[in-house]
Amino acid sequence: MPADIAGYNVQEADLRYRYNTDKANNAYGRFLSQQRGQRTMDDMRTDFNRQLPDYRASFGQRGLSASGINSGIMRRSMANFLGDYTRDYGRAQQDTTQEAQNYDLQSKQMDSYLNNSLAALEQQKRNDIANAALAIEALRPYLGALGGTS
Amino acid sequence: MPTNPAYGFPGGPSRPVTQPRVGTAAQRKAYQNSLERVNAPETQTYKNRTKIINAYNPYLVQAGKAPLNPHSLSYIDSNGNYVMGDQEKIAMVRILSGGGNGPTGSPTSPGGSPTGSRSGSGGRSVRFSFGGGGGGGGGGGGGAAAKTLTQAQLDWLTGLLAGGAPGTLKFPDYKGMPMRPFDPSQYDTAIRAMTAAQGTDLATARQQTAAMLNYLNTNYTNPYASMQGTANMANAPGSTQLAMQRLAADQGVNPYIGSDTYNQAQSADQAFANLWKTLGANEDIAQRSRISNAQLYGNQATDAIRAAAQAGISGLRINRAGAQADWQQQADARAYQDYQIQQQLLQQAALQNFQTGNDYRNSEMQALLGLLPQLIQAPGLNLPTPAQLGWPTQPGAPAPAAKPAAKKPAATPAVNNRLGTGKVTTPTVKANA
Repeated sequence: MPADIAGYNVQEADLRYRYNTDKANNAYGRFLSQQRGQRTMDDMRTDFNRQLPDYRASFGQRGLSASGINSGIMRRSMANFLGDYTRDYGRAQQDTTQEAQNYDLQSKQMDSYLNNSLAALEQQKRNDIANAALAIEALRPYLGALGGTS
Repeated sequence: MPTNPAYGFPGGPSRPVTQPRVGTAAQRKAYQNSLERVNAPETQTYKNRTKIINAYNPYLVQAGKAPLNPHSLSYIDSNGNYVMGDQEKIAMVRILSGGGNGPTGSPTSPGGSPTGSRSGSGGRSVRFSFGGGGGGGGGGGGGAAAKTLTQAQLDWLTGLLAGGAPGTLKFPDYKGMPMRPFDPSQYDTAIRAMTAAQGTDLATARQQTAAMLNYLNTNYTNPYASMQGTANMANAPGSTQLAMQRLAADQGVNPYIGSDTYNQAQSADQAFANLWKTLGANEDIAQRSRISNAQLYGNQATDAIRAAAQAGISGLRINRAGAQADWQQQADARAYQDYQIQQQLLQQAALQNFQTGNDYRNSEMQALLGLLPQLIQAPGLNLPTPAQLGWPTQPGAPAPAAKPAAKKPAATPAVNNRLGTGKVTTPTVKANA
């Protein structure tokens, strides 16, 4: 009455298959997320670079900016303009990073799940074999020729 | 000579009589004396014989009785003489021997009245006749004298009787069917097999535990052990923080204008790292727990296998003890049966030997009693002793080896006294002397 461990091998294969597909999906999602964040930030920089000359020119037309002239109004406005840009750009970078971290976390969780599942599966298999030996030992007095080897 | 069909022998009464007065007064007196002697205390042991005599006495025989053996009866012959039968003669010999003196009666001539006389210690005399025609040494009766038994013939007969005594029956030695000894080999084999199988099963369980531990130790990697490759603000896509600071400075703005946002991102990175470490610690704990469980279950499995093996071995031993008890019970029953059979055979042999010896001795006695008439007529013969006949000295005792009769008779040999108690000494019969 040997233990049948073929089922455990099938389950292990299933686990690895699912792990591989999930890891691939996760990696692809991370790639898309990075690409999406990169595009957003590139667009932000492009818009900023386009708006910056016009924004500075508007101060000159109003006599607030010229050579040797640097009014307080202009400095405050430029600080707000650049501050908004750097804030938005930094948040975009942070969002992209955190999305990537989420993908990284999911990937490690998949690794952990695979390790735990394989360990549990292996332990069940080993326990089943030991239980089979135990059952055989308990049944030996009732078996002809006391059974074979477990 | 008339024959009374009621008695069937000549010389008997021609008609039924109740109290006939036959014979002379002296004869009746002699007979009366004999009866008194019979009833005397010293002859109480012969009561049975006396009863026989009385019963067979023709004077007391009632009408209509069946014919009796004339050789065992006394009767009155055609001449009116009182003739003693054999039985009565035997009894009379016994009776007369009680006084210690031999009879001195003298036979009378055939046809004469009995005139024999006996002088004993009591001073009483008995007169009787031992048959008219007999008496080889007697008074020379009428007709040709009958041949009497010689000592040689008696010795030959004694030897014949002693030599023909049946042997002792002895059954062959009883041999009971031997019972096969109790065979525990099957149980012992099973116990040995159980012990060996226990080792095999224990090895299997231990091997699985070791394999499990080896798997856990060699295949485990904490996925959260390192954050290498994970995303963080330092390697975020797009412009670096330094580039942003240069941009602000070029525009105449404080270069650290975006530091707050950057600091928030670093805080988020730290929070993520903390989560990472927590998850990694949990993984290590789970791994240690799995190892502990594997070891614990391995121990449980081996303990359970030992317990199962012990249960099996104990069961086999219990079964073996039960089987041995059953076998012993049957062996005891068989032994008791053998004992009973042996006892039965011994008792059967003993009974058979006793009966055979008894029957043979009875036949010997009958044969010797049949010789009494001739012995009486030949009083000088030495009768065989019980020892010579091979008779046991006590009832139930084994018969001694038969001794041949003495060739030379003793001076005063004793008459076979087995009919009595042994206290009575029998004198030499000298009837018709």
